[in-house]
Amino acid sequence: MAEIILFDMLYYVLIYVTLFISVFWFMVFFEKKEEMEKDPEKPSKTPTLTMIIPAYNEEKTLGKTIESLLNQGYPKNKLEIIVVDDASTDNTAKIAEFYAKKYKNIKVLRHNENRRKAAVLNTALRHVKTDLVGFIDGDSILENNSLMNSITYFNKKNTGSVIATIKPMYSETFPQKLQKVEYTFTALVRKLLTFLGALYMTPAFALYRTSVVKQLGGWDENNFTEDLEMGMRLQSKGYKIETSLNAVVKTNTPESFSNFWSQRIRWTRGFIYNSKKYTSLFFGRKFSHLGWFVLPSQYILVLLTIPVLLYGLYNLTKAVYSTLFSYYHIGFDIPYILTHLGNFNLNYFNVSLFAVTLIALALLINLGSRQIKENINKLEYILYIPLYPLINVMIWLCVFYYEIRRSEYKW
Amino acid sequence: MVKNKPYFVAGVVSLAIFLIGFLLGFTMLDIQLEELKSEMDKNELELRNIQLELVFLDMLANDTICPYLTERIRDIDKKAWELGNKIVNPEGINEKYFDILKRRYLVSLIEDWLFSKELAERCETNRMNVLYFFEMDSDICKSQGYVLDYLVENEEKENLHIFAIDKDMDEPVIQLIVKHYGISEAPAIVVSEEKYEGFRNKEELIEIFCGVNNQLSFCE
Repeated sequence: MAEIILFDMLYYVLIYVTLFISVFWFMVFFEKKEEMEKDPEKPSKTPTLTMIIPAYNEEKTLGKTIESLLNQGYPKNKLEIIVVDDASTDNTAKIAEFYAKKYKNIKVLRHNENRRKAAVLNTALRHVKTDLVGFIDGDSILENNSLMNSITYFNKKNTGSVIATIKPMYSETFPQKLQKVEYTFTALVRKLLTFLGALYMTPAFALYRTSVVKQLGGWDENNFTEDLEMGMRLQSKGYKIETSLNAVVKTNTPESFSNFWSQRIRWTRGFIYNSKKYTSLFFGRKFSHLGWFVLPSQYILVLLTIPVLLYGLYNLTKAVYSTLFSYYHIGFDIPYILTHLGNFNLNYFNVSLFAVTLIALALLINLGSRQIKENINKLEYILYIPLYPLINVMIWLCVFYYEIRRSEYKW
Repeated sequence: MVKNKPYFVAGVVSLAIFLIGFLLGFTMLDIQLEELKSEMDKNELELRNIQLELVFLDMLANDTICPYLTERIRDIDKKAWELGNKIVNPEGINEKYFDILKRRYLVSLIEDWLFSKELAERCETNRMNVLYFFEMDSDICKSQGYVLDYLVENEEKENLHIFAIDKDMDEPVIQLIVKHYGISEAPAIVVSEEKYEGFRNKEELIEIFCGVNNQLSFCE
């Protein structure tokens, strides 16, 4: 009985927190609706820019990545591209060299051993002399005008970085469909975060002020989520990160569930690792929205969801076992079973509150899909809404286990 | 830059939604309770009626209305069994709201059982009255209930009647019966004054029932 009361209380708190967060995002959206799609005025003088492409075994996509940068309409004399081949074992180096011979503003650097993205970025940074520096992953493609749309945000003095809206390149497999909905949702939330000055990551594609990145000492090579670390570092030093809904980068997302799982384990562990590294961001006076709402709410949601979901799963398993046990003892009499399926009563409290929360989440995703013009069909909503929180909790549980066991970090 | 206003508005709006959810839940529960109460009232009234009819039978000093009474009690038992599933086993519904209703139901069920026993003796019917003791929140009891339900529905002559009783209900009459039959664990059934404790599958139950009354349709 006590556990039922505790579960009910936790459930109601979780529902309230989820509702609060959803309504909060709606409020920010309606307050800033006019500014959502509008980028700042173009600067009178286009800044010089170096784009770094970290590439490790990207023979399939590297050419397209380079082409997408060249087709941006960014003044050729102001754009430099550095491809860093991180000791690829395929034809990545050859492809990079091909483009370097063809275009004067493309340079190729090479690592003798695989040293990962942060080291790649630092290697290239030493050669950067432009006003801005940016990177785009070797498996991503930048949509036209994204560079021009992004640089407008550097008009603000405290802008340290600008990121793009990320869309998945393909949505064919089940994990890719899940990620498509997730990316739509996060694109909206990231834009809303900028209105709070609380965006704290720079994934897939990002531009930075070169002076700021150099002043911060480049990317942390010991960090396995270097883009998140850089985002948190920028925030901790008082720089803001912006995002443009008109700058779109399409990126490869994991096709298989096991790759998706490994990626999420790495990201989640990276989030915990960097949260510990930047504890000063939490509840700090300088970081009002980020420190008092955005970062803590992630942990609060997870810590509330885990027991509620586990208890729910435990009860579901028990109910399924008990039902199968009953069916077994009537000799699996199918006609009888089929005519007696609806023999249960619903808890109207929990069901109505849960329904309202799901509707709020669906509305936010719908808002995101309209903002970034991404089509999401009904099946994808139905798949994502119940499954994603479940998968996310499983990932967090797994990560907690690794953290407690102090397991080695894996890239 | 966004200030603190959205936090305040979000707090108030989400609280309002939350309260509406609660209110909606309470209203639905209230409707459900009212429906059950009304069903209970009807059943109790039927039972009162049939008790008076039995008194009348005594006055007549003949058994001509036995088939009529047997048919009537069969209907009441059926309704009581359905009602019992909703009241005694309200999955997902906060039990405390159902406590009084549940007590009322169980007491009425005992009345029904006693009356059925008397009628079976008096009219020499083929009715088989089974007392089934269960525990709340016990999965094995839920399964036992399911198997018993199955047998009731498969007894084509409608002569099998189960009276499901919460073994732990602290009503004096229930505790008296529990003590009388020496029920120490659930699930347990009492058939023809014989106690059987522990889970019984379909075949075991058929064997027990047919051992007592081979007129049941699944004994043929």
